[in-house]
Amino acid sequence: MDADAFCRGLYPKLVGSLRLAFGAQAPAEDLAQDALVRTIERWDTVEHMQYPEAWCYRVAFNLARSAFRRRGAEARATARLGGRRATAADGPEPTDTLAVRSALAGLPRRQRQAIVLRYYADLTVDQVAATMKCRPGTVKAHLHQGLVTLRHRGLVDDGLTEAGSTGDRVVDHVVGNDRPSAGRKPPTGEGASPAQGGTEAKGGTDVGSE
Amino acid sequence: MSDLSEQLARAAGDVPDSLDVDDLRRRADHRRRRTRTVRAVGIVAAALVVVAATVAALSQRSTSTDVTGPERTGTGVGEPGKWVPIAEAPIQARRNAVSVWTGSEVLVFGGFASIPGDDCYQDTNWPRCEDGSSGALRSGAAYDPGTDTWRRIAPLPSATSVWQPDQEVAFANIELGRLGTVTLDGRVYTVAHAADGRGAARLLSYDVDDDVWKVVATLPGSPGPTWALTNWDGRLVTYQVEPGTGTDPRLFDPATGAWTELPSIPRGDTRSSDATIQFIGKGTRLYAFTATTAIAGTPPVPRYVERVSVFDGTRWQTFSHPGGSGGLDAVWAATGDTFTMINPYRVGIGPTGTTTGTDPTEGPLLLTFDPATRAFAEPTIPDEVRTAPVPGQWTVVSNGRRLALVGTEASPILDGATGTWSVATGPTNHQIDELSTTWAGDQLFVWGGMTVAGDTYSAALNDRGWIWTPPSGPTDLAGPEQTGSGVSEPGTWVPIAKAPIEARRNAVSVWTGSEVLVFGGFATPASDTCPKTEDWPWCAGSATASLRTGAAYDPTSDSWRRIAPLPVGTAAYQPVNRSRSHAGATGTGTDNAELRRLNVQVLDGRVYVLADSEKHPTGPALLVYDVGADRWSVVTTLEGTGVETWALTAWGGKLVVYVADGRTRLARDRIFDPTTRQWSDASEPPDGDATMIGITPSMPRQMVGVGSDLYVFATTDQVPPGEDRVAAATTLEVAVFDGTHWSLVQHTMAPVAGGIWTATGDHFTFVVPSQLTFPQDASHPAWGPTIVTFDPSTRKFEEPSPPDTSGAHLAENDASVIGDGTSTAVVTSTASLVVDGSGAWTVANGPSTMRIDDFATASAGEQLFVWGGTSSKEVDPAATFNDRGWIWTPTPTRPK
Repeated sequence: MDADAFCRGLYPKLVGSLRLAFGAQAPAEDLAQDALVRTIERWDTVEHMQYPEAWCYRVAFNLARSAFRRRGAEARATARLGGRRATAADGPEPTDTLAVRSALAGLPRRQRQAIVLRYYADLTVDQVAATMKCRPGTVKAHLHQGLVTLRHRGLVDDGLTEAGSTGDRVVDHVVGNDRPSAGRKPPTGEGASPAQGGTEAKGGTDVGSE
Repeated sequence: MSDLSEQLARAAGDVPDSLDVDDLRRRADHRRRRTRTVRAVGIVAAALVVVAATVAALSQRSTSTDVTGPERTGTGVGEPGKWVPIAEAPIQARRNAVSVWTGSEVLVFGGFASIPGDDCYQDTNWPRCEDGSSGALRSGAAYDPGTDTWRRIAPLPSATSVWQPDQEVAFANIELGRLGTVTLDGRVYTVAHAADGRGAARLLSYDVDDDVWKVVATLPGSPGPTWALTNWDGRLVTYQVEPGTGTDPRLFDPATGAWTELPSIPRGDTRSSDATIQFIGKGTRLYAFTATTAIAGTPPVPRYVERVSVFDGTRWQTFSHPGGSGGLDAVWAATGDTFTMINPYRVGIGPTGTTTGTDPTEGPLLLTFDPATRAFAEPTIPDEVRTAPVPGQWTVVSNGRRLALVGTEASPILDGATGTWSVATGPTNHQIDELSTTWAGDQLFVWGGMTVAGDTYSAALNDRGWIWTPPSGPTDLAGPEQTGSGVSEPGTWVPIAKAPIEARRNAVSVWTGSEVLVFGGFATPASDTCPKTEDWPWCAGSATASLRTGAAYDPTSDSWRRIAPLPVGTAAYQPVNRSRSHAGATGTGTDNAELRRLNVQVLDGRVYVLADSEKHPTGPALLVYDVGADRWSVVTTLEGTGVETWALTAWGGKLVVYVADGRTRLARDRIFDPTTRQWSDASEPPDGDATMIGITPSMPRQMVGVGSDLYVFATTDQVPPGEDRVAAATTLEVAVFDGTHWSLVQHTMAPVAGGIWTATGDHFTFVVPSQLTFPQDASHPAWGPTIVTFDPSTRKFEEPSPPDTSGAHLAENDASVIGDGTSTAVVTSTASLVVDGSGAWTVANGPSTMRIDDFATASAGEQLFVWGGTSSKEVDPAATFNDRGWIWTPTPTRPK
């Protein structure tokens, strides 16, 4: 795959993931493009990474965190004035959309990122782990905790086990049907031991070096 | 899980399906060119190879004894509340390198490879060695926190000398130690000296995009590291002070290359021979921070008088704080709406709290100056900050909001927006002096420096770096520190972040659509924020002690920001805050149906407030606050004094104001058009056949504009002949004005007092909070049967059954009625009752178990907001102000 096709393929999901994870719509496209600029700049390295998508997501999230901190006040001012009016002019958003965004915003950052990367960006658990620089078991723990919270808020109504189940059992049930996207390299390193769940790992799955 | 994936996809909204990859390639090429330019320039700089080799050897030797710790992995750009190591820099270790934030990268350049004990080590200012080498370094690099990557940048220019930025000048832009460097319009400017000590100082510029250094100008004045540099209104201000002499401040416009002399700063007896004069440009004003000295006492002791001079573009105006100063090394920095002074060497932060240094111990450790009120204040430093480990050296850095005293063992950080301190422990457990540090946006960057063992400089250069990220809110949007536990726990009250304003009672609170504004209110007469200016001399000792300050709370990020204070002109305005005992004079807007604070209306990004003119004969005024511009102004003063009855609402894009004098029964209904700023009289519509006389003037009344109709609600007590005050019945009146005609509907019911109308979905709800009853044999009060609804489509009133309040922990305290257009809440400090448009009631117990009166409350979207107030004077004679706040989130409706 060349850089152009890679960027074009990744761009929509990158924008959407930034919106869901960081809650601001306008900068998401800019941030996604900034991340892809860095991808093109380093394509010789990135294309040989095990999970190039994960590297891009990680750079985008890093940029977003920095940018939102920097632009927080400005963004709020924009939302208060033009942004808010523009939204109103576009008509009210569906209730379920607002509920999903509200519920996501209420999740801790790492849980939110894990949920978005896994269930919106369709990354595998290993790719999410590479993006978040942690072990796959930690990702599963984040997914489990996030899903439990979302279920309590009425957003997840499928077959989550009841409270009292172990985290990995629950998550395995939820994420067991891994759905690798077409063209994505098969995941490796699945099946981290339960003891690994919830433990941040120094030197976890690498996304490649610069 | 497909359900969640689909919901997420919908929540993400429409994402772009096309991408201009060619544009991305151009941008990537531009970034690559910058790197290549640096490398090319590096080759040209071969003339310095000998020096570089020397210092490299020194560095290598030094790092062999460097700090121990885990391998740097460049694990990213931050973990909230933690220091994390950053990627290895492409430049050699050094001390006293300049570090400056460009908005996207931290530039690190200059500095010295020599260390104490080296043959050529002379002095940090002028490291001239006998053999002509200096140990000064020209190389530099840029660190990008977004990618945790470095790139080399062009080295500092070399002409006849190697230029080296000033390091030890105590002048402040915002950073002690590296104060002669600022960023302006994509360029970094720094004042530099020839490292061989010859010649005058130069103003250098670095173009971030082109990666090129230039010598902008040779600065006048004598050689010496005594320069201040700051940016102000798109220009640079330079200033040099020599003991007893010094230049006047000069203004440099990079766009034209022109220099302009500014008027002299009122000098008097400036601070000291070290000439610690600092400049900060902010908005349209330039601030110079100086000090005078005076001898007083027996034996005579020098007393410093801290001074702030404000330049408005024409003249300087100086304000003095007679309570002493921070001493020779005091640093002023912008911290939110105020400026803060601290002396990192004298503040004495440490386990014992003792002061250090040789300055007089008098004077405040911490001093603030509010440019709005021109008042000084002396906040205290909390014990947890004072017990932080004492490093060998603090470096003070500010990003305009947060001020940090950076040390490698612990860094106390003051959040100017909230006035709160925190301590960032680490990143090491030992002392590193002369490090490079700066705020990178909201993150703290630390790199390089010199590890110190014991009292002697058996030092080693440090080539490691770290970055610290402040604790963040649930969405990472705001960055400010979150001291509350969160903002969205459905069905429960949760504490919110500490407000940056002092506790008070009867503050006004209003929801703008994204923030809750809290302003005004009353504090004790001794309140520091009670202005004691020429504009407001009566505040001192006043029993009312009305407050002008305000803040905005964003529930999305659980963060506050200060807003501009209420205006002071010839009069001091205070929003009308009627206590419940004055509930007979109330008005309401659609989303501000709040008892006690009913004279606020949000319209097109502006907040309109009816305000009293405290102790002033001009009468009330209509104020407006522009949310985007953070600016208050007086729209107009209203006629008449002694006004007791007010109402304010928005209708058809205009404001309707009702003002009445209860004694003379004069009433006026006036309409204000914010677009044309013209008033018209609502009582005299064009056809002349409609007036508002259907509503008894001066009676309690409220107004709500909905669509094309204006609804006016009034309540009239029916007092039997011969009775003095006791009403036999109450008549509710609803007058509807469709723009042309009025119609009137009435409903007579059992007597009530203090009811409030709110819009609740497709109808209006009348709630009487004072009808809470407290049966002697009941552990909880009962809810009175005084709920009435009015359906505008049928013009019918109904009296539905009261809610079941058996589970509500209702205390016998003040209740406020607030509405958001779809639901209405009766809020007390111990329990709230919420009714939605369907008539279903929800009990929200909390947020406190204590009775709190006169608190501020508002509907923040679908959330309820409570802040401030006082503990009950009836329960506690020594009632105290509450400085806490809470927010309640309803349980969301399950998505269909």
